[in-house]
Amino acid sequence: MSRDLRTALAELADQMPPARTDEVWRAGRRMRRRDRTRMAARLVVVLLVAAALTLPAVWYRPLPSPATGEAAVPARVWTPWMWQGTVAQAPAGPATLLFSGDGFGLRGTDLFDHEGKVAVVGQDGSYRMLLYGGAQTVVGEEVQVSPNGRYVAQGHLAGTDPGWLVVTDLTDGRSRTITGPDGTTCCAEPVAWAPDGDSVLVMDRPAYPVGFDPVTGYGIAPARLVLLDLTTGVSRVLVEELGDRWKLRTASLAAFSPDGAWIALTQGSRVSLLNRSGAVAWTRDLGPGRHLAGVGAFSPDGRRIATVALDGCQDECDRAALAARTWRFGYLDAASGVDTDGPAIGPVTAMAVRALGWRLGTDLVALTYRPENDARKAADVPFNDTGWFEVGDATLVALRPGGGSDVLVDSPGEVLAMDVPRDLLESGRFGGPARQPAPFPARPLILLPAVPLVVVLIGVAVPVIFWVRRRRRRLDGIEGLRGG
Amino acid sequence: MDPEESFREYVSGRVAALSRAAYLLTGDRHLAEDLVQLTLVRVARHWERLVSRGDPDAYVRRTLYTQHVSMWRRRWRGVDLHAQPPEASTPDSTAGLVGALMVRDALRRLAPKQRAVLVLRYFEDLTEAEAADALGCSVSTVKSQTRDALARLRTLAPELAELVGGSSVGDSSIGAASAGDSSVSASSVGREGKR
Repeated sequence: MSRDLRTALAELADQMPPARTDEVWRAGRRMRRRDRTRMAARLVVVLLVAAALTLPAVWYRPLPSPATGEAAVPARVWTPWMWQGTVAQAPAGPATLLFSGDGFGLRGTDLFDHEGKVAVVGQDGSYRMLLYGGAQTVVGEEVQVSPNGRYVAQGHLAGTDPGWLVVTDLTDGRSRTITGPDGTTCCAEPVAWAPDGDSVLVMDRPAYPVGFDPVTGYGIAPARLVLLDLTTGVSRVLVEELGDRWKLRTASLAAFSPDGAWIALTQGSRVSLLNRSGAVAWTRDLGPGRHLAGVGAFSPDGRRIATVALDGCQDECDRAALAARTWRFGYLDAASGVDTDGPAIGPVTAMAVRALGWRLGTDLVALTYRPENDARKAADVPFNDTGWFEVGDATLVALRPGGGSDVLVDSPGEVLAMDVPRDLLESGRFGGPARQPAPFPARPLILLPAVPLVVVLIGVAVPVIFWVRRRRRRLDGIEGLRGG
Repeated sequence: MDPEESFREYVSGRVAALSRAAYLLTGDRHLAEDLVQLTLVRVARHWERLVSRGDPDAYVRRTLYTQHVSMWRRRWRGVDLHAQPPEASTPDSTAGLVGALMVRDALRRLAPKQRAVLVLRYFEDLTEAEAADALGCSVSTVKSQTRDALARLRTLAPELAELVGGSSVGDSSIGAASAGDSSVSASSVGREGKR
């Protein structure tokens, strides 16, 4: 029976004349040329994409690690990549500069990143990150680098055990968690490193507020001052009542004398000089609007303490008034606390100024702060004029006696705070070579930017590709065979 | 030999057989001609490589059947690919051919792969393995497609029962076609004499 089907098929097939094939050779060769053109184009695209992905990594050469004593603060910094690798992931050695701020590179979301980020620039120009979940972070205040640039002190650090204070070694990426004076595991903030780097002043506060301000409704967290000896791990409470943490002006809390034996401390409008046991040598009231200049307030010889006095808006200030503030420098005699003369640093116009130290014993290195666009100060609302929310950008400058200043680091507007290792600062090693941050090493977060790219490809490119292919097939079949 | 010249020589020797198989697959002269042309365009594209391999027939056959399925998928049926309808080079000689028209109409009602497997097995006399190779599927798929195609022909066109076997799927003649394939392996695409 199938033989009958065979016969029927053969008889049916006999009715078909041979197809015309005049143009098939030419059409086939046209298709062959198009294939080769497409293949070459695809190859070029693949090579271009591969080159775009790999060449930056190939071309990127970290600066050679300078010999000890030759490292310098880079003359310029860039906002790090959102996915920039961490110190723990790939430690790059001692830092030349730390900075924090805004933008994807310096602030993330805790959903898949970290709210607080601090960029650490190594001596080879490489960028690494310190990450802090839960809150924006201000370097130089909540996070401070040691005088030699090797260690960073902070209250907590992502990826480490909970502790009162965490000290990170930038050379190996390891962090040491330290317990508080009462065995507490919360909450400390560094105030100032001792010049020798063996101890650090820390502000301690309870984990939970002990009450609420009846006027503002904000929680009250009484702070105290603790001196932590990192070599022994012993901590000593120097001052029990520092005030409510959230009302402290962190820019002017305390400063070490150059020999590390004395501490100038702010409590309200009063400034005191303490020794390392907490004994008070003198106390004086600076009056409203006058503050300790910052962690670098002590003059290089230790005989004077710099202060800044505000000329301008103090209580109810809009952004313009904040930006128009002027700060005048003055000095206290370190031995007695009385006003004295000192290097004639010119007035600075800024929302705030914070002294970090003295360059080569003559120029005062300071951060000047401009207000954020929507910054506004009200009398009864806590306002920290070097805080993350209040600052629009910060600039590191050297203020010369007799007037004039130099911008030490060319930084993008996203940078809201910086911290410089004291050794580099005092030896005047600024203007060092700078490299843009390399995209690698990266955190897994690098995959995130690929998601919208894939969505765009799927949503737009794929339908276009299908449409083009369908059209080409029709042309291949119709016009191609007609010898077009 | 010049590639174009060798291609034209190959085409002149195969085009009639290809056209006949294409007609069985499409059931339409215009579509059959399109199918042959599309197949040969793709063959011309890779002609040098096919010649160097020594046996273009397998590629040509595979291309013919895959293009047939592609054409069907693209819903090209009913699209006139010619500005002028091709002249009928031969008269309609269905008269006197028993069941030819019925076979063509019945084939049209099959799925393209079922149609293809019947043409490969009963027109080109390929073995199951060769048919599987041409269709790019497994031998068991060829077997099941053949069985289903014949069963569907019986259901859709009872008038063809005499041709395709009126009994069960495991009809002895069909079984013989499957089992005795080793002796019927030559492709009729390459054998003009089978006409």
